[in-house]
Amino acid sequence: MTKTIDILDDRKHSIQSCNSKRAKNGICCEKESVSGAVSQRACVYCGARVVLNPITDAYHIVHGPIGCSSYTWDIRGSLSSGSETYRNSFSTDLRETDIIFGGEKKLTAAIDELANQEPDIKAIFVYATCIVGVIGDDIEAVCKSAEKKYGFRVIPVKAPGFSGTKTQGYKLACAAIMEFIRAGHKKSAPKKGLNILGDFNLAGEMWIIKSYMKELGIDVISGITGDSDCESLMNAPGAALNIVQCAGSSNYLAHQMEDEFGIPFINVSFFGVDDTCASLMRVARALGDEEIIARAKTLTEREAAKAKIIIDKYRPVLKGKKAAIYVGGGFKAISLIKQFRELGMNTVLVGTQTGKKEDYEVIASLVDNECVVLDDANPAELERFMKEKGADILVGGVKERPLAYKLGIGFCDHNHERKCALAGFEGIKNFTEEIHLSVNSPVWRYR
Amino acid sequence: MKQLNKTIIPPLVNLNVNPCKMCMPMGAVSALYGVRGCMSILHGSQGCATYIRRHMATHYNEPVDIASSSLTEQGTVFGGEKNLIKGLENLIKLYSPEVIGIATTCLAETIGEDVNSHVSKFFALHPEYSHIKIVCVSSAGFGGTQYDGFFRALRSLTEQAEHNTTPNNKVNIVTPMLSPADTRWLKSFFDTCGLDYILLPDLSENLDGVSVEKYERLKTGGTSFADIGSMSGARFTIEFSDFVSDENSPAKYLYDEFGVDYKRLPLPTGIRAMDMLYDTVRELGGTINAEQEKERGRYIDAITDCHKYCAAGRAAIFGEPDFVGGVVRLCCEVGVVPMLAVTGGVCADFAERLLPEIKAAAELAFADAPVISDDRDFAFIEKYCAELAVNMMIGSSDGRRISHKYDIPLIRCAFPIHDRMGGQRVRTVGYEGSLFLLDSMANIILGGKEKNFRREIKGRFFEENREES
Repeated sequence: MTKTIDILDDRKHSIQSCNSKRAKNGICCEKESVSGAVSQRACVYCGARVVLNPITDAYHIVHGPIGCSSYTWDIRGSLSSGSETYRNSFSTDLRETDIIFGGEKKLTAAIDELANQEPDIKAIFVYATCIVGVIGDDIEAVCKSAEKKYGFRVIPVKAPGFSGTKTQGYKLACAAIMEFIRAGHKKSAPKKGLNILGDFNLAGEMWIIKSYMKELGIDVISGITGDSDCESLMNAPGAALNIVQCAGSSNYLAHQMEDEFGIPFINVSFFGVDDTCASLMRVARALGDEEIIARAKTLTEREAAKAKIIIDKYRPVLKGKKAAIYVGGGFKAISLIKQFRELGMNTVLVGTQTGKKEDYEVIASLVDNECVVLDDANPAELERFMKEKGADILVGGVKERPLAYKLGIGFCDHNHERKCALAGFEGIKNFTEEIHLSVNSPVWRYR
Repeated sequence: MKQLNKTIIPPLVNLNVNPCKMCMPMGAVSALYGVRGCMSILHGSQGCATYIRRHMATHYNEPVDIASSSLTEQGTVFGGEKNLIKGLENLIKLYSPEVIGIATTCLAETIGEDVNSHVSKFFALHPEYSHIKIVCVSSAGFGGTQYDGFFRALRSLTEQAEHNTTPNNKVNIVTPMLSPADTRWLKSFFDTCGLDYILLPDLSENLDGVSVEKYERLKTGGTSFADIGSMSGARFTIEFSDFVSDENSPAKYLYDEFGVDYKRLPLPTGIRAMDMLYDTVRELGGTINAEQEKERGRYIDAITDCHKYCAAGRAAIFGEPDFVGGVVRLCCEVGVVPMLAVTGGVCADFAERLLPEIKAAAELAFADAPVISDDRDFAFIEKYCAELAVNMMIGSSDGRRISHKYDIPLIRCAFPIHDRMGGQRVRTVGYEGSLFLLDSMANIILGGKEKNFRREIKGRFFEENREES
């Protein structure tokens, strides 16, 4: 048997293992995945779907063969305070004959049938997957004519999986949101309140952030897209400020809203004590109202003091443990490095699926010399470096969980499927507890 | 009480609402996981591999590594040869497999990729890799479901094996997707019977690993490629499938090409299927020992103990055709009425073949007319779960949303199970598997009774509390 290697030549520039190297050219990122490397990334369609799916009263139709719809059914644990429509997965379920004769008729019939069946449709997002473009379906025309016929929005999202990376899917989703909310833009109306972009209410986080805004006395116009609905989204153009949490997925939208509606934006993160406090203060200052700033001060001081009690309790049993981070986007990785530091833990590996050059620069400034930084990593690399660096816990998505366990490493799910809020001050408690219960579990003694 | 925001989407004709099926590549790579030293690559977009990995990893609780040729815009327009060859080179460097399974996806099939010619080119470029076996599976997602993909991969493996027709006196055992624990049982069963066999695929180890000092990236369990080649020299094939098409059937291929006689048996779930298995073993010269006879007796004892509870059972059974067939038969034997039997993919004689048995069971129980159908989605299942007063669901965890909404207990015993632990350990075959299903069904009825009988009876008969009936 030939010996295996851990790092492919094509991947070498996407891995940096010490500061001296880091300084030169920066990491190779924002590129398509290497064939055969076993990337952890999904595809363009997935990127679009995960951003749009939390719009609770929208119908999400996957135009294509069944698989894509099957694997993304209810993909995000996004919570809803209203409609549950988004939790269904609709697919035109294209078959062999549709591939030969085209799928336009089937899509038209599908929309017709839905329109006749469901009384109160406000919007349908139609996702075109891999083969739809190849077989030449003109979904834009189908969507346009359906809009005309029924009077509700039918928005095409042309997201063939091969047409780029997941990041391209985020851009398409942002474009679809713009397409949808543009009609809500009233030029002359005075702007007030803010929109929260890039939180998907995975475990009630949108509600947590909104509760802080309420205490600060700030109106939240629209959450995009966590627990949003078509009506509230239409008000988004009237906000005075956008705050963007998941920059990787939502900065495109923020930029477009700035250009078209004149809404400025700031980046925030509600993970960890430092970032949550700093973000709340930045939001308050951005709005520039002294009373709001004073309330933000009170809130952050009060909650930081409470969080300190929790951190102080767990710090002694976490201090000196080593963390590995492999998440979707840069903002979360950056916050997590800081959050681990708050717990007395050092990050020895950090990587993202779709981080940007700027994200990696920030990451490089936060980690020490020994930390390995990876873009679009694969299981072989994660295995190699988690072992080499002696990681005690991996924060990632569920695909990475079994690998961590096989290597005798704890795990914290920081992705779609978690059922536990990790953002805000509430999240600090949950996160700290989860890290502790996995890192210090008795099970590791028996390996 | 909390206001439940129920959205009921009725079944539609032109739109699949909540799929009760997955795609062909999913089945293909699942089957390939049962081949020793095999690494799979999906020829298509990056996402297909990642979705399937996530779906499998969270069911089996095992690392699942599947490569992708990561086709791009350029590959789609000008052909994917470069991507596929690069993908093969890279996965060999990372995994050093003995066998590589290439399964196509919707995209590769639609743009007309000639995978065999890419493979020839690959070997021409890389004579140093000539020891690696490459098996190609044509598995367009639009061409069928994971069930078809699974058998198609097995068929491709048998077709593309290096045939060794020297008679080896072995019995080929071919199975649809079974849990690793079920597969382990099957192996130990045939071992005990004294039959020498080749099992395809052998999913017993690779998707239910053990904790080891040194983690192996490439899984070491599974049917060896040499053994697959020896299937053509076997004396007989048992294919555990009611519904596999001839075209996807390894047994049919081995019969047509090499004259290996075969028999299709239902999944060994329930008393009649187990009897058929015992009989077949005896016919093939194997022995059923006293302990195995005892197991049969113990099972009959158990169904007797459970029969009055089971009689209250009204089940919705959904999933792959063979799984549904097996569970339907078991239900009918113990008095549970399968009110709804559904498979997500197209399966020509599905309803026709299950109808007589289900109809008889329903009539015996004075139950409403049951619904049996192929090519259906969860909107369909939901509609009939509500209409037919189903009180238990049996299938994958994809039924959980209906289960939660209508408070119908769900027995999770088919892939995928994403909301409970132990997918890899689920048992549905053999007497142990049958007992698991039996106890689960009886306990649903008993559990409901124990929880509710005081309130219900008081509500019905005690004057002051009398409820409107």
